[in-house]
Amino acid sequence: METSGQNYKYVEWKSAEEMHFSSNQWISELNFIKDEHHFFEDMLKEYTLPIIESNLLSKVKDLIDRITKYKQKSETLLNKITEHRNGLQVMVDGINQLEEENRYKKEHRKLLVDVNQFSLEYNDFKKEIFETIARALKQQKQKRLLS
Amino acid sequence: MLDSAKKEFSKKTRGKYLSEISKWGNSLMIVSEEIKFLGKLLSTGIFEPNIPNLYERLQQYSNKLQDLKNEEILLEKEIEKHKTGFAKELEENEEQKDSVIKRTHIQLRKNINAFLKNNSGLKLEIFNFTGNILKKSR
Repeated sequence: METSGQNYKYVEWKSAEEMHFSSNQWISELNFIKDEHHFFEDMLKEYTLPIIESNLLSKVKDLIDRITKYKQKSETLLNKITEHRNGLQVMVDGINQLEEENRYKKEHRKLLVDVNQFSLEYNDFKKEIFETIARALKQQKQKRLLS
Repeated sequence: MLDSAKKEFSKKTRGKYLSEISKWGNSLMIVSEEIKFLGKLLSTGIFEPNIPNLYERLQQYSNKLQDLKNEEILLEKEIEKHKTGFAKELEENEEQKDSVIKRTHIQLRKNINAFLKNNSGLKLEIFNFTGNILKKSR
């Protein structure tokens, strides 16, 4: 997913084809994130014993709540991007509609910023999940080796 | 094309490429962390016992993760090399350099997209496999 270092002006240079490609890429990545959410949620909810033993329960509860929020956010973003992608016609119909075309580019820019922001936050969030689960796993491993 | 227009085009293309390179760097960094996490996940014995071929499957996934890690390191090196190409651009013939940078960039883009696709495929396989066999709390 496109991340924060992106130059705003880049959108001005994107062709209709490139904007279509980006929209499709975002959609595919957000759909993949749905699978990730499902896995993380299962893992955090099902694998509770090591989590309890590692005193990470409140942290895990917080992570599960945040997964729910990220699920909603990604769904909203996905709907916006799908709608945007379906509106590409205005850029390729051969009719000179400068105002609509500019509006479309502006919308694309806004989505680019939103996707970048989401991506940045979500990746930090994933790191937190990795660290929390890794801590629980490490403690389980140590416990197993000592027993 | 007029010289000034050519230069303008070149400037824009390079800006676009640099932005893409920065995006690739971030993506590879995230993938690297994911590989590390999944590697840990596979090696900590948190799965239900008596799963047929469990050890073999886990080993298979670990090997695939290692291959992916090696590929990721190679791509990082290629990106670095490509970035150096940009830095050297003023030292050589502008026009000639443009086409070399373009060719390298397009090839690298293909390689990185293929790599990210493989990575997503493998992640999904691991999620599906391990998600179903996690040792449940009793």
